[in-house]
Amino acid sequence: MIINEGVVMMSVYDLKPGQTALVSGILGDEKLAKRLRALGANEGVKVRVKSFAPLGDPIIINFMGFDLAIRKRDAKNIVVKDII
Amino acid sequence: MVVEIIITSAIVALAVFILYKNIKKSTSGQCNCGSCSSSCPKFSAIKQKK
Amino acid sequence: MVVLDSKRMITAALIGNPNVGKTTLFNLLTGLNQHVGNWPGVTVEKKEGFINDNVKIVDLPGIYAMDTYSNEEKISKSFLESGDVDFILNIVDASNLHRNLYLTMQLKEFNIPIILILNMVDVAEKKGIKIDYGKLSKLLDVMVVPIVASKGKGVDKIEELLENDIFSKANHDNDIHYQNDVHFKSEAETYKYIEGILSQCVTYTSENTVTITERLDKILINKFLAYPIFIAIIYLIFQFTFSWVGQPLADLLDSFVNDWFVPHINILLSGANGWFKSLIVDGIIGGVGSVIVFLPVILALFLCISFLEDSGYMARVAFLMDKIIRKMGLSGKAFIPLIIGFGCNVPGVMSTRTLESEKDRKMTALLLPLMSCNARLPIYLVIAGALFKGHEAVVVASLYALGVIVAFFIGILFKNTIFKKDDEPFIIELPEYKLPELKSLALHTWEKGKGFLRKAGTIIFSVSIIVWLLSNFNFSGMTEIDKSFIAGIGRFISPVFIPLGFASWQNSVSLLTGIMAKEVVVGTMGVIYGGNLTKILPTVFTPISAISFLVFVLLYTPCISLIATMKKEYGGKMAMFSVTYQLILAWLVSFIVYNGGNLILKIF
Repeated sequence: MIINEGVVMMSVYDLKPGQTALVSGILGDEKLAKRLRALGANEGVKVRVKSFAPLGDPIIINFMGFDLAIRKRDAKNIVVKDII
Repeated sequence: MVVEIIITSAIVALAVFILYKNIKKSTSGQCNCGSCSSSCPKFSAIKQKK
Repeated sequence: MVVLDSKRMITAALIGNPNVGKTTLFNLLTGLNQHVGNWPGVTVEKKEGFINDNVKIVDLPGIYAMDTYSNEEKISKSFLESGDVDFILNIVDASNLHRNLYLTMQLKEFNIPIILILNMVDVAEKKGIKIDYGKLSKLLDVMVVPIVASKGKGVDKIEELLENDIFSKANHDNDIHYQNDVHFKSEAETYKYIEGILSQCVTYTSENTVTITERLDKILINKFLAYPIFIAIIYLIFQFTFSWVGQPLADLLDSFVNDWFVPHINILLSGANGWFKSLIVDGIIGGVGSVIVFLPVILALFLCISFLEDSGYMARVAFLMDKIIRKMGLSGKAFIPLIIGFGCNVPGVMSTRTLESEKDRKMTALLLPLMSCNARLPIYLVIAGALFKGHEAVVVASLYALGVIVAFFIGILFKNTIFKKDDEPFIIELPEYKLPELKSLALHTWEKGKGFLRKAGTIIFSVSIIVWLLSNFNFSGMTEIDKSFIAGIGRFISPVFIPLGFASWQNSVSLLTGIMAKEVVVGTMGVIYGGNLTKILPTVFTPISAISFLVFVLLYTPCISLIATMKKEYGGKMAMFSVTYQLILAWLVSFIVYNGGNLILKIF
């Protein structure tokens, strides 16, 4: 996990539908982090926000070729860089 | 008359037997619903090993 | 070919990610030779089956990894370490190898020969993914078998490999080594290794086209269309069940029984004693017949729900409902046991095992019985058919909806009192949509029909007999129904129902027998009110008291099977609590409905 001093950390939470970014690292609850990493959300992997649920939460993200629904609150823990 | 009484006794005995077995089966927690769906953990058929 | 010791059982562990067709493969390999039980010490189900006398397959739960702390992963790990496993059947999605192989890498740590089963190779081909199986096999040091499970292609190769048992440890002792030579320090390293391998044997020949799933999802989880579509789908299901197919068939069956079957039986028995005739016609036919006529409706509803389950839409529903469910402190994942509960509460409670926190599991199990199960349908239909003819669909739909609404409020109540807790993280995979196999749907529906008939032939039959006996006798012998045992029991209970508007002894006793199985309520009514309920019930109920009765049936304690399941999964205290709170809840809501309803009528 890399934290760049002086640079604001962005997470999947900050992305809008259609945006893609590269995973930088995963913060927070160790259980969740391990689960996400096991699913492929490791450094350098492309993660794309596909859409939000009609009520705004959860959101659908895509990485490693499949779709995952995740709560915004938990999405905050996926730190990203290099928004494409 | 006799035939009727015999048949009736058989029916009643069968009914009681079924109820008894049913209560036993239910309280031991086996699936009893007759409405199994494909995602039911108990959806299975047990066949005897030959 | 190696000669087998005929007594030796080969055990293969079937393991893979969720949603890759594991269950389809398991069913193909084992047919009906399956057995479901429990892993000792945990509430995770254990599924075993047999290909033939020699080969046993143990279906492990769908998991993504072996080390992220869930119960499913723990038992898989200990099973593989136990020494009982001769083969690992690792099923993966050929169009998604990257993620699927992560588990494979972890499986290699167990030093057991692996047969890597690449499922859905047809989908991969369509997506332009070309895999060199030989190279993959060599690089990973596993057997590779491509299959299309949904079409049954390639599955015989797996059976062949297992039966020939060429690679099993027992025949080679310790000289062949199946483990990884590389040990990975992190997930990222593992993925890099996988990437390295795949780049050598997988080529992509076309751009990622928009899949059908993506196109469907654009509509089905669209911001504006998702909820209206969901409601429309529910509406369609009810129409199909009540207006188009289910009810008409049920009516046909009903007239067959009442207008043809019964008169014929009467003729057959014309020489017999009055009481014997009554036993057969009022007791058995009256009881069982009243329930069986609803078979078409139950099957129709079941067909619809199965279709939705198999298509992958249910995951979207969990996704759509998550925010609302969160108010109750649950996650969208709890939605699935609740949906199952609409078929039968018992498997619904059992599938709460899949939820991750103890509190989630308990709370969902407590709310489950409020999901109106199939067994209550005959009651709704009989009363709706008698008092609200032509509007059955509306009545029934309202009851289902009421159950959900009440569950929502009770959920909030519980969350703020008994189950204060933090939210669990929520992740759910949205699998590709697929058109459910007609064969599989038909099979399940047929199984369900058989189950219903079996229930009718057993419990309902038995209770009808008992009820007949109790309604024709008292301490001084055979008597009028009004003076019988059952009337006595009914009168003893009925005062409690006076404020609810339906306090006849017949109703009271019928509700009591509902504890055996909900369908029995109709059976009992059929026996003690006399066979043709459609004519008799309007004389016993007013529209308001009928609704009050239906509400009570919706909310009160379900059958002993469920109580027993609750006890088994969550203990006697929880089961007792569930029974009690539901009785009180049913009474209160019925009270409000009856008195409120009458009040409104008075005003207008």
